[in-house]
Amino acid sequence: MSPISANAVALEDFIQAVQSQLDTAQARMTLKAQNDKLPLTFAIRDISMDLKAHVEVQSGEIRIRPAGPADTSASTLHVVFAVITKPMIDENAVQLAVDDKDEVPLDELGDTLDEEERRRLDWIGVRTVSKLNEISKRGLGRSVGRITNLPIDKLESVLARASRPMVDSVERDSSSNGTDALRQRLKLRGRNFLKDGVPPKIAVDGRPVSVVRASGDELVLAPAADQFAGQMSLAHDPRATTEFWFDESAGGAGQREEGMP
Amino acid sequence: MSGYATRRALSELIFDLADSIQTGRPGIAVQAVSAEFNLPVEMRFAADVSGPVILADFAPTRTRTAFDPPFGRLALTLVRGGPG
Repeated sequence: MSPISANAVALEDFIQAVQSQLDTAQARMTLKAQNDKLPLTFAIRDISMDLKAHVEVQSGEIRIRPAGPADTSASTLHVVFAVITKPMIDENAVQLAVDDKDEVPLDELGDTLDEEERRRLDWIGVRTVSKLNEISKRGLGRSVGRITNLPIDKLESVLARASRPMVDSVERDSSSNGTDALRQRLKLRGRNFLKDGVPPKIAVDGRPVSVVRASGDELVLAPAADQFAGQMSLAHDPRATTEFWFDESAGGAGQREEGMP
Repeated sequence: MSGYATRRALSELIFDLADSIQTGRPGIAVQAVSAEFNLPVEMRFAADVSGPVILADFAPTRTRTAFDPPFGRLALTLVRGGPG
């Protein structure tokens, strides 16, 4: 940790930092009471701070810089924090549904989001792919972009990528009934296979493949005889195509190589 | 600038204040149930990997000089409750 008092900090970063440290202090008090087996401990009810600082605007962002020695022209920033209860949060927050099976951390999107961008999304409680999908469905992308300072085109790209089909496994479908027995199927397991109830466009080596059955986490495909190996692509949105190599042909069954963008 | 630096994070200051009034000895019928602090503190910013950190601590000297940064003020209300 190195002092950077000469530098300005975004006002929202300052607020977030205070909130984070209040949480830390409260957590320490609670842990100590539990470890010491105390029936009661102290909790923060409210806190206010007066900070002598200069207020600046840089690139549309309000930033504050602590006043230095003999600095008589500084402003006073008065900030009050008070405990809010869960009912108050529930009453005021945008409700985002939680879907356990889709709780994939944003980290799994690879380098789509850097650490700073993930941290800004974390501030508003967006830590998983399903939360991002929920935001997209509710048309909140622009609001989230404004709150987190993520460019709207970046967020849309991330949202498209987050909602792209993700394939965990590919195998021949052994559950074909009598009428289908003459034609082999491929079964894909994963997530994000339906968008607004519609399966993705699927191709193997550039040639379309029919979808026999589709759910959010499973697809059954009817490929042509020469489409049991090659490069498969799945896309709801041309900006976010999932591509990978697979080989379920008689000679190379079970091989799959990631080639996702 | 003075020859010392404020190094304690705000969370540590708050924890120490709360801990200093925590009297958990059994058999004492009357105990403090709330405490209010209104303190002059030196506040500065630092940074770690997670972002800005607020450093806040008591002034290390009684007198101020032109080389010391101006005080901020911290008002804190603590109430006794269950540890959760």
